[in-house]
Amino acid sequence: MRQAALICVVDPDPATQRSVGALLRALGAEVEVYATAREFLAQLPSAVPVCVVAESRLPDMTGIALLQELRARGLKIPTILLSADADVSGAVQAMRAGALDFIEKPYIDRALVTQVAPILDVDDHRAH
Amino acid sequence: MKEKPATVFVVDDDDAVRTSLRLLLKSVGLPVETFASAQEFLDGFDAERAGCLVLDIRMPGMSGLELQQRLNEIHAIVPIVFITGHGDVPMAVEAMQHGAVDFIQKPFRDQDLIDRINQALEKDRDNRAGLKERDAIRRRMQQLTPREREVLDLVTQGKANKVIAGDLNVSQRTVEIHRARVMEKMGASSLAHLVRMVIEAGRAS
Repeated sequence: MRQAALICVVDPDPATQRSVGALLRALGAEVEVYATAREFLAQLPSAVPVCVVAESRLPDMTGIALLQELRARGLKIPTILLSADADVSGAVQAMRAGALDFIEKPYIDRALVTQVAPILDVDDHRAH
Repeated sequence: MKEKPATVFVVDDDDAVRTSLRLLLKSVGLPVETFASAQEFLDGFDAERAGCLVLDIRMPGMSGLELQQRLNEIHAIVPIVFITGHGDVPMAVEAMQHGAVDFIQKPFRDQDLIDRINQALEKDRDNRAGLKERDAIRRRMQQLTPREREVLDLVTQGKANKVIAGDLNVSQRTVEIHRARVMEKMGASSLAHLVRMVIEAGRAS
């Protein structure tokens, strides 16, 4: 039996951790939550998630820097950035850096489901 | 073949914006054509013409995003620089997901817009050069005989002449002759060059 697909949420805000975590679990994902990029990156070698959902302003680095760090490690994990104070240039920068989506808080549920549902499906089909 | 110079196509429903952009772009020597609606641009659209599109994201009738979608549907390669208002984050994200090259938020500095337009024009030049190169390679590949085509496939799979001779049930000398013809017809200077051309030709355009 294959385990549920892992999605990592990187966001220091407990309310976001709870709501995003609940939403992703409802979609059938296994969810791990981290408050900082460093904590998340530290566990990466053991478990590579199918998707990362990260706040664009983390306490220890920006979401874009986290995205670039993943790419630098050769990990093309689909990454969705969340932002409470988004502007157009920040959004464009994130998309240029290769983000799958850039979603404005707090109304993130629908956009998140739109992006994550196909990833979970695709992953299921690929499973041997 | 006559080619018009790369043109900046401006689509904005605001007369004042069109006029000021026309003057600005002319002042730096860029050929410019303006359109008052997305539909008007689409009606006169010619995929062969080099240039870039400066597109207002919010317009009555067909929006900038809808025009981008229509252009994607017909596989148009014209690079798009969107002009957007403040706080249009979801639209900016959507347009980027669909291949926009850049965004500029109102109000912008003239030089910023000119820089982005120049980058978009450069991208268009690169895209067109790539397409042209691909077409040329494909034309050369079509000039190969079926047997030469087989030899090309096997050679670019990294097989040695001896192996190819075995595969095709011909002498090694025959393979060498076919191989030399393939190299000549394709204009390949080395095996690596030949492999690069085959990869290039295989790309979707």
